[in-house]
Amino acid sequence: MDLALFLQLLINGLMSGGMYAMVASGFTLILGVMGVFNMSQGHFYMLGAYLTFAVAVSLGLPYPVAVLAALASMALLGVLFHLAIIQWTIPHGFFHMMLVTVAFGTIMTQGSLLTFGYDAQVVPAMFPGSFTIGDITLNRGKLLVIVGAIIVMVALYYFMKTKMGTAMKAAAENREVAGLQGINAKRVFWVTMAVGTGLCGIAGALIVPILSATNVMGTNVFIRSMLVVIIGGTGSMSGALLAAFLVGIIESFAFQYIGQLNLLAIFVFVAILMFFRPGGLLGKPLPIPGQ
Amino acid sequence: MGKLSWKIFIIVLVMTMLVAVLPTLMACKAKEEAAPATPAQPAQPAQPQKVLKIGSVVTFSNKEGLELKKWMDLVMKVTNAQGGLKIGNDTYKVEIITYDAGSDDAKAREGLERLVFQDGCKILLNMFGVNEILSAQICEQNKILGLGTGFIPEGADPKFNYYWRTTGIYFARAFHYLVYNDYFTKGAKTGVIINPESQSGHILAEEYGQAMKLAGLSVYPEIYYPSDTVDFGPIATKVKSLNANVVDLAGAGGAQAVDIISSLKDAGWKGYLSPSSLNKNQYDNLLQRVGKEYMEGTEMLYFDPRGIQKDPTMLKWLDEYTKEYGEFVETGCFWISGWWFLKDALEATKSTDTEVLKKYLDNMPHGVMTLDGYSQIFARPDVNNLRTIDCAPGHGIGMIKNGVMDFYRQVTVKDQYLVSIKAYNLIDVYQKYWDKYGKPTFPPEKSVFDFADLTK
Repeated sequence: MDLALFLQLLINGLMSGGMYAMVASGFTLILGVMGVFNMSQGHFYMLGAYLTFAVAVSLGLPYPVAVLAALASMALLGVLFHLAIIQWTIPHGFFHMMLVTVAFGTIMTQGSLLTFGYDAQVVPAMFPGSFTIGDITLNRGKLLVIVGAIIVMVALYYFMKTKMGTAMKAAAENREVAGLQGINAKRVFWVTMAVGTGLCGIAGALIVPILSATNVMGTNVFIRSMLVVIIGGTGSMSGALLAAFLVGIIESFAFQYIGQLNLLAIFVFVAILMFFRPGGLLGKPLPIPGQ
Repeated sequence: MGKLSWKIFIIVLVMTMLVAVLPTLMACKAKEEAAPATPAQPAQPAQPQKVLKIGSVVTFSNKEGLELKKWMDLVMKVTNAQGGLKIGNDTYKVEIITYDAGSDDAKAREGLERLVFQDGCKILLNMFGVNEILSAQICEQNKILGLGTGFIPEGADPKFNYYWRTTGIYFARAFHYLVYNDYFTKGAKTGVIINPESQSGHILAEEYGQAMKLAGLSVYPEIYYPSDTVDFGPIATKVKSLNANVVDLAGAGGAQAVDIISSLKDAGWKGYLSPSSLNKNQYDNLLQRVGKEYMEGTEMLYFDPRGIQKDPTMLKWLDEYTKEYGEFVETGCFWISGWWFLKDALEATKSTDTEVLKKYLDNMPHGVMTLDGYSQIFARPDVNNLRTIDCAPGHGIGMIKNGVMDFYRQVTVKDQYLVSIKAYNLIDVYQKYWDKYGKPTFPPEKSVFDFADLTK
């Protein structure tokens, strides 16, 4: 393999990884802190993409405004979802919570179909076109996703060092003990939900100038996000980041050599990893339902 | 139910209604705004007494299925408003019952069986998104007519005697051959086909590859991608590393085709594109992504039949669609073709009897006009099926000039039939058939190919 092809595949992998990182970070945060297996995580990402289209194209507002709108509205929707449904379902156990998230995801998909129709929607790129360095072609939009993902991850890193972030980590570690320390679990939970779903909103907003917004985009990315969480380790933000880029890169390189079986390469990697590190790279094993 | 459970139930219900109803209201409002004012309706002719029940199962989860349903509803409404369908000495009220095929065979079977056993339909039409074998089996078991789609080889099996593929892809190689040949003339030497990983994706890739070879191009192994692909960058990088001159997105769906082409541009690939299945809306999306220069000279399906159709009856139908639904959407035009075959058979035989209609359709000697031009069904001696079952659809080829699609040429039924036979290397088999039963006749349209070209 020549160097140009290698670097091109690497860039592709980093771009996909950036997207997975944002969705998976939110997913692992909600799973780790609240113990909620949010099956609608990908749907928040889809809705974020559609909202960006609505704000940037239908309303004609600048793209950065659309990104902020997607972030804010998905965070708000996540909080509403939590206050109206999730918090009442938590006492009923893991499967109840999972089922309500499936239902909510279905409602979001149908709602977006009714609102935006079956046609895919595209948003013109803020930084259109590509540039070349040697034989490598770099798309500005993809670079924006990579840079955006890194910025969001750095911001999240510092957020987790704040008082609220520490409370979230404490709640993730042991909810009862955190409560005894005076941590308001209710507040922690809705903030977690806002951050987790807001990340999806921003991921959808960043990706929509590159990939068309469709009603299936959420499902597709969610499968990868689950793999990222398994590889990175439940509740581990740094694990999710590392695993996301790893999954993106494996997927990119594998497609070049084994084509459509590229997802198989990731599953093989997961199987080997699980054998040696059941808790993933940097986390703990997934919660066992009922425990 | 405890107090807390009721509380949860009410909150869930209210939230669900809010989330579901708001977009619905927005969509309804948008529809109201788009819909033209309804003119005063003229006095309706007296309604006929007899009812012709036709059943259909299409998938409501994609645009093709929904548009097909819109067309079938329109056909029913307009035909009945005109007094019904005249068949022999009787006039029939047309009733087309359509069910959702869902996303699996079980739901589709449920719909098909409901049509047959509960609704009493003797004719099934345009089963888009339904497993072809399932449709053919239901028709065979119950001895009812099925005018459906033709995507997979098994659908042409002679064991099915009540199924016709009035829309399909088997006799459709001239379209691609002519496009590839143009690109070959312009200097292209190699080609690659990108398709989703599916049964129909593999079939399309094989058939399109044969047309590519016939046009003189060297064909690289097909590139398949999983249907849940998130990023198309790796596909574009692979195409670039192959250095293929022509890329055909044979079975890539609209949104995926848009993303693949923009990924190709992002990867720096330059060459000739053949994005077969883009519609107007998807093409507009693509232009936003890649710009008009990238698409210059691209040949593809001419998507709006209003631009090329000259038949006054079909133009009237296209007009009826716009009157009924406001904005014209071309997606369903191709897939409604089964109706025109059925109408031709009903009017020609002056009968609704299944066996009479079957006999006519089994030996259909001529093409019928459809919204996209002439279409005709032919026998398949290569699989020992001597009934006229498989369609050769006429198509328009458009060429992109300065970002706008211009009509470039018409691919005729005769072109589609003959080039397909040549591309599949089946000349000997068909020659024997023609020697015994005679050569088929074709619709009156000017074709590029003739029988003599088969051996050139």
